[in-house]
Amino acid sequence: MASGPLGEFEVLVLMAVLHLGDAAYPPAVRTAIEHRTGRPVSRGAIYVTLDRLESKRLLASRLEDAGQGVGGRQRRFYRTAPRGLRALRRALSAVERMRIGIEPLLEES
Amino acid sequence: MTGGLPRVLVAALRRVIPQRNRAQVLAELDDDFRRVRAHESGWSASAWLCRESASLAWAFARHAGASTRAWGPIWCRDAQLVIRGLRRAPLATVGAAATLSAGFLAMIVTAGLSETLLFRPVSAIHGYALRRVAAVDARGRAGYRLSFVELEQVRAQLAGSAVLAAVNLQPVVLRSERTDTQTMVEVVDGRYFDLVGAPMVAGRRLVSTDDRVAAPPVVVIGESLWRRRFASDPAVVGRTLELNRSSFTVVGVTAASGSATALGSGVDVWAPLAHGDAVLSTGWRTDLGARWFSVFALPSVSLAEVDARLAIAAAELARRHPDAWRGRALRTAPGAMLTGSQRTGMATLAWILTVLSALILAVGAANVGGLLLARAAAAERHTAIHLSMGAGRAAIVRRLLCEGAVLGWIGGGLAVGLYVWARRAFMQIALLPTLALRLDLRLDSTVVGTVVFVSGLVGALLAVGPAMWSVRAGNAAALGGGYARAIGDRGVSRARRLLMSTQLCVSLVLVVGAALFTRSIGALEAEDVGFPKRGLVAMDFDLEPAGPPGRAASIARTALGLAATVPGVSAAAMSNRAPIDGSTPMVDVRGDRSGPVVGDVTMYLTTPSYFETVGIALLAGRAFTPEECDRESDVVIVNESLGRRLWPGGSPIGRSLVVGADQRVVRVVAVARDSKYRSLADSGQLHLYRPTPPNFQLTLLARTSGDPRAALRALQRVLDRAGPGVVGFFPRTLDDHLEVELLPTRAAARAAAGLGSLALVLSAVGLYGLVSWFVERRRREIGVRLAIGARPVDIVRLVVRQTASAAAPGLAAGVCLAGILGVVARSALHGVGPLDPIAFAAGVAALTAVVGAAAWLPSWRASCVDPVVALRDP
Repeated sequence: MASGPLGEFEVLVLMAVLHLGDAAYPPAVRTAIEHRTGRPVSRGAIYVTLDRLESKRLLASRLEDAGQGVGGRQRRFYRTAPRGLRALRRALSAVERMRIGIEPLLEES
Repeated sequence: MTGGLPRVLVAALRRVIPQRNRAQVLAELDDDFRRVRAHESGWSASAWLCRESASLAWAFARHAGASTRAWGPIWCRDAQLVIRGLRRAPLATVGAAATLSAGFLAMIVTAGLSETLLFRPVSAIHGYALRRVAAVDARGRAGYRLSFVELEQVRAQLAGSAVLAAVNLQPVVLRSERTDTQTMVEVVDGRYFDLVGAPMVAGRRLVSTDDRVAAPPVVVIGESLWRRRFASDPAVVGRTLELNRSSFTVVGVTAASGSATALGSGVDVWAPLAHGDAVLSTGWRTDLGARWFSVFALPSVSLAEVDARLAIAAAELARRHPDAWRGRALRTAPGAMLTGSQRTGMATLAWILTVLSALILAVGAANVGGLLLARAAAAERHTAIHLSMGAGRAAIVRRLLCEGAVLGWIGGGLAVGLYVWARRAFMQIALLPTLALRLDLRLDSTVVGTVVFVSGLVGALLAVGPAMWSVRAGNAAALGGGYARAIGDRGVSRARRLLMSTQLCVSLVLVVGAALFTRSIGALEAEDVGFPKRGLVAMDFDLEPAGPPGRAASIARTALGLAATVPGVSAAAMSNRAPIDGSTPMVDVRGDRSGPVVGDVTMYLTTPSYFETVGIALLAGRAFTPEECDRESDVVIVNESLGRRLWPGGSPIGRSLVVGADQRVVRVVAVARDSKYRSLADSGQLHLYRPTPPNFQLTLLARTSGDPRAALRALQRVLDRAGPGVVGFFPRTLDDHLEVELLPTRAAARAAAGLGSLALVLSAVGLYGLVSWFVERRRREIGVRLAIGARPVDIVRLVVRQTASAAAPGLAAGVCLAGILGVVARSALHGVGPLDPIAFAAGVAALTAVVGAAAWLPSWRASCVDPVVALRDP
């Protein structure tokens, strides 16, 4: 699937997966975004966005045993694919470039 | 894996979550749900689960793409088809929705009234955490008012355990802009506004620092007074007004228009307790019997601890005041507006209203069910073609359910609009000239959301039957027209006849009920009360706390003397109650000290010219002399019934009588004609009169010859001259006074008449729809009949006769049900039997007229059918 420009929420999910490293599974991604941004994130949105990013080959996933305390179930963990890193870099640098020249306005407001 | 989640939910989510994620998503939802449930209440955890599941379902369904993209258009297309179909028959649509809306409106108003009267807590902030303090007597009866002495004891014991607020509703004379008006004031302590949470329109609330004797006297006024008297002037804050001629500064305007603690009491002013001397009677701080304060407590410790502290307070009160507090206890009770018998009465009323509303909703629903059946029947061929071309049954059912839901929503929307109007009307209800009832019914997103949900659901449920029938008849129609019509007509006809019978039955019950209550009112109004009602006026009056207490007796005597001199007044007297008052006190009497006790004897305390003023004839003996009244001599006047009861066959004059708990022996000086004392329904009530000097606890009565209202105004002016601080309250004619007595019967008659009229209209609409449908289905047959020589009048007769035969079972059931309910409600009727033939005849005649009118128009239309056109129709 051709990966167009990333949406804002997709950027947040990619960054949360990077922050979490090897522990990036859906509830943890949701919690990380909520803690860092302070905004509520719906459960469904996380699963669907992770799926979408994986289908764009920006994320890769693997099934692993969840470990103690969760009944020995398997859990899908995500990591950022090289394409994902590049897409994220492009999205952030686009934001950076757009920011240049409007810093005084942003500071005033 | 998903042991904590409801199975239904899991099954629903399995349908939307793709296989790849399903197990993990459900497992993680289950984990989180278990965690939430461990920390939060059941409701809260369930709400959390609903929210999370909805988020999952929505996100995955959107993500699924194709299936979701298909769902939306299908429902949209169905909705478009339904709306297009309904727009083709606008009158039938609006009629059906309007009848349904009547039922919804009745239900919402009933729910709103029940919420306002029974479930709304006094405090808007703390809800039921705010508790009432109740005093329970030795027999276990709870009282919810305390005197100031008791309040202070409770306050001392609960210090540190609960925050207390006390409120006391009192009448007061309000002077502003040189105009005097009588209104109600609530004397409250400094924490009242904080605990009850009345919203402010301007300025500030009363606070603890206002409730100090050294603080400047301030008040908060109600929005209603602010609009009425001050034209909503925001500069009212800081202005001065007088309560009973003591000056107060306005510090705020509250949006509250009535008492938060007493049903329907309009309150215009709130004043701090520290300045209560201006409003409350002298001695309110020390008089143990002055139980005027409703007391509320917001506990900061457990309820058990608060109750334990209240028990200590009760023990202390019993030690200090053994006579008044022996065997009594204090406890907390829920902080609802209504308490005790008032609450029980309102709960009964709420039940009756709920049943009546459900009946109205049933009638409206029957109409909509009928319309949906008719539409399903009309679309029979259409459905058959769809089915034969491969359309699924689900699609047919879905479209009809959608149609039902849309009709329900139109009805719900109309009901909400009418509720907004009714809500304003409830705010303005003046039950009587002397009693305003301000009921603030709730209107918020919960009410609107519930109506939207319920109306859609009811509409869809009503469509289930027609949808099922439609699919079955459609299948049959695909086999052959004649067979289908036979199946279809039989099923629909049976269902519609049942609906019509239900409507007629309910309507007849309501119409007969209205007739019974109306005749009951007529009988009560025509009742001989034992004296001429016309021209008798009454007024309560009092001496302000600021008035000279030492001169109270002489001022009351002067006021009575002046009242007798008012032009148009032929006589004036005072009595402890106006004639025919439900609160007339009762005493026990005995013919002699060793004789049997005769209980429940009503008693009036009267001044000398009472009998002349009221117009009660003395059959033997003489009236009280002024001296006897002044000395409260041991004399008594008995009525005929009491005389006959105590001394059958002999003359009561000169006999002795033992009255009351203090065993006072009194001598009979006269026998008065029997009259009505507590209620218009009194019959043979035993009664006695005792002499009393004029005083401020009595009601002033005057016999007038001209316009009684003009005489009342003149009396009011005379009282102003009687002495400093004299205030007249609740001036009323006897007819006004009796309105209170007639209020329950009149309210029942009005409710039954209103609902009965509504049910009649709904029945007429339903019946008309049914007959129109019958006629439409028989167009060909009617065409054949006309073609072979039937006259139009024969067709009209045929249709009317068949309608009457269809209506007869409903009317018969209605007569039986009305008879049963009449016997059950016998105690609410006066002067008319529960099976009153006139009421039943009127009800049956009204319903017969409705049936005739509803049948005539379609039958007349049928008689105008052109046989050629009718025979050419498929």
